[in-house]
Amino acid sequence: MTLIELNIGQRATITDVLGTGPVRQRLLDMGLLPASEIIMERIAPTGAPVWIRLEAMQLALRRNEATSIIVEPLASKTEVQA
Amino acid sequence: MSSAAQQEPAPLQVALAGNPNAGKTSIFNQLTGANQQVANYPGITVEKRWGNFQLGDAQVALLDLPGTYSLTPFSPEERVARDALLNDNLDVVVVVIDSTQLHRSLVLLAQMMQCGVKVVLAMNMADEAQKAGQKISLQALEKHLGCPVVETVGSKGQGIDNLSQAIAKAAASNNHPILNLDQGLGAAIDRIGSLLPAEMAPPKIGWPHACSLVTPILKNASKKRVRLRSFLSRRNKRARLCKKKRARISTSS
Repeated sequence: MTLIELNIGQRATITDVLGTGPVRQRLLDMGLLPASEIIMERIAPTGAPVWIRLEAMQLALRRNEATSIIVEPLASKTEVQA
Repeated sequence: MSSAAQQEPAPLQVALAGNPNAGKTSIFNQLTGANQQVANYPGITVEKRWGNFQLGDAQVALLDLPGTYSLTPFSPEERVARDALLNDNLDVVVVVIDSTQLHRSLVLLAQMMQCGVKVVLAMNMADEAQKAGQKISLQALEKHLGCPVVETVGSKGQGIDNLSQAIAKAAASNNHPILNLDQGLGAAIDRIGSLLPAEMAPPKIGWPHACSLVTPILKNASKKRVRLRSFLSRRNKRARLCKKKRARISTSS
């Protein structure tokens, strides 16, 4: 599934970063690498942009950036935030 | 190399590299006594600036660079940083990282270590990391990375003496690690490199540099041969610098 399908508070591991060119390169450069663990922090009312956290780094992503990141949700650790 | 640099009037060339907002300019100001503008948000430094300071008997020319996330530039100021890091003949590169953002910061460190330059890691904002409850073992990092690691707080001037000592130590050592993460990629670049004119072949100074030489060639070559030719002549100067660097590396190892 893609990153944008995560629920708020859900943890996931990145399995792949799709796309080409500078945007993909930038995401990889910023540490969104396969096997990194992320948490979905917040989602805008319209469904995007989304706000994710990777260790101490917080990052807002546009819809098309978020849909280009393939993730594997960590099922057991779903926690719903207020 | 460095003992030669100490006898000659030529100063040690040291650069500060790191992610945007890691505190490079704060450390620059602390080391050189300069007063370059700093702020608590990224993107203040957009051009390279030189400063000087005395390190024992040696004179050091310190280069402050705009922040960059990797050696693949995304914006003009990142290109400034990339070009300086790859093409200026630097004796030591100090990679300044935000200690609270290790995951993101180590990408650039890894790339710098793949380039075969002498690297010193400055873990800046150490106080912030401590406040956030992070415990980082410098010894363990040093052991795994093979490069000197120091904690600094650029805004308060802490750890600056340790940093300059580490720079001196790194400059004096002839034994620095060259990171080789991916054997396959290295082999592929070597193969592409063997097809290029001899003076263009990627030197053994790591894939970021090699990629920066090879990938644009592939892109341009598919379009027009004329463009390739003009491209090659434009890159000739850079290739000569590479050659110099390669010679330097082979003599120092």
